[in-house]
Amino acid sequence: MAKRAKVDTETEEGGDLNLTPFLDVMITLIPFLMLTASFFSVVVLEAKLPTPIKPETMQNVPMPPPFDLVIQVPKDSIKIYLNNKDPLGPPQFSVPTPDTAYTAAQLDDFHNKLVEIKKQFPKEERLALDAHPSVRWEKISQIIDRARNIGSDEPAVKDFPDRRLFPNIAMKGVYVP
Amino acid sequence: MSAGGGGQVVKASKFGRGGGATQKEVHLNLTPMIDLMTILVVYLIMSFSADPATLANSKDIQLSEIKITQEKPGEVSVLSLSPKAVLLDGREILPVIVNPKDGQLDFPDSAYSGFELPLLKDALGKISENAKAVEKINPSKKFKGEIIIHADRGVPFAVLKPVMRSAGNAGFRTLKIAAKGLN
Repeated sequence: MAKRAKVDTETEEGGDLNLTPFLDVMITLIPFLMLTASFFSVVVLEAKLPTPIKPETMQNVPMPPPFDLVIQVPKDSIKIYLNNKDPLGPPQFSVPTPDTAYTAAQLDDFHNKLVEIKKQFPKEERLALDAHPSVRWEKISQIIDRARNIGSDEPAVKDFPDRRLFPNIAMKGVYVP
Repeated sequence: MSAGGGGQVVKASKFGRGGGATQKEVHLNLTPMIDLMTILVVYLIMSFSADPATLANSKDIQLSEIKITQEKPGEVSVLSLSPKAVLLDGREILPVIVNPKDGQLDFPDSAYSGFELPLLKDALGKISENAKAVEKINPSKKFKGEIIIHADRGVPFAVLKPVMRSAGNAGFRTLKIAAKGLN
């Protein structure tokens, strides 16, 4: 008994804190969190599905529409059609994109052209996107990104402080009755 | 661990000629390691809660990289499309196959009805019905018809078209396309 009492006194005097359970928890938690953590931010781009015009309101729709902006995305280029009376006519702007992925320069050219159009039609926010079925989703996402907003570091921010370019994007070819 | 330095006592034996007679106590200082671990755990927990885990951590889905847009995803249903399957809120709805005719990704013929995917439309329809029922009880939780499209960047648009059409017919007409923000 005397020996046991001596041991207890020694432990109390030493003030040792047992960190083993704490370290066990940490070592389990860190690999789990590292595996599940995302080291990039996920953002979302908004696009709408086109809805048909109700027959009773059809007569109120001006023909041809006062503003008609269509981005066509074939396999090898990006084309912009602005108020094009002839649907088979040449586009107002075209960037050749022969590679599988867009380069920053190609996307910048396309974006700058849209900024020019926005300056001509500052109140317009609608745009129709018509992509070829074989086009990769990344290309479509990048086009939507460049068409929706103006970058915070661009000179055009002075003219458009809300940074809205053509945010009302409708996906053509995905008709929903 | 000693009270002052946070060290762990390790008894080290002295080996060699004439060894074994004396033992020396070595104090291993664990304080820096514990400090580091605590900082790391706090940072990881913060980043864990910042983004919806279902969006960021799918090994089959590589998100597109975009430059300008910075809008964060809200709390709406997630429709994931990987080169292997379509998942709705993490639950597999349909498989994605490689079409033997052209080698492109596609859905099995049995999954189609016209230009849409009935199985996916039904699953989405249930979600929209539930959301509308919640809206009736609690008008502040309005059903906006929004859905997050969490698709792999390599998937062709042809595969996404019937998915979008099914979503639209189920009442989800606003697509929120998930991407990796570079800014």
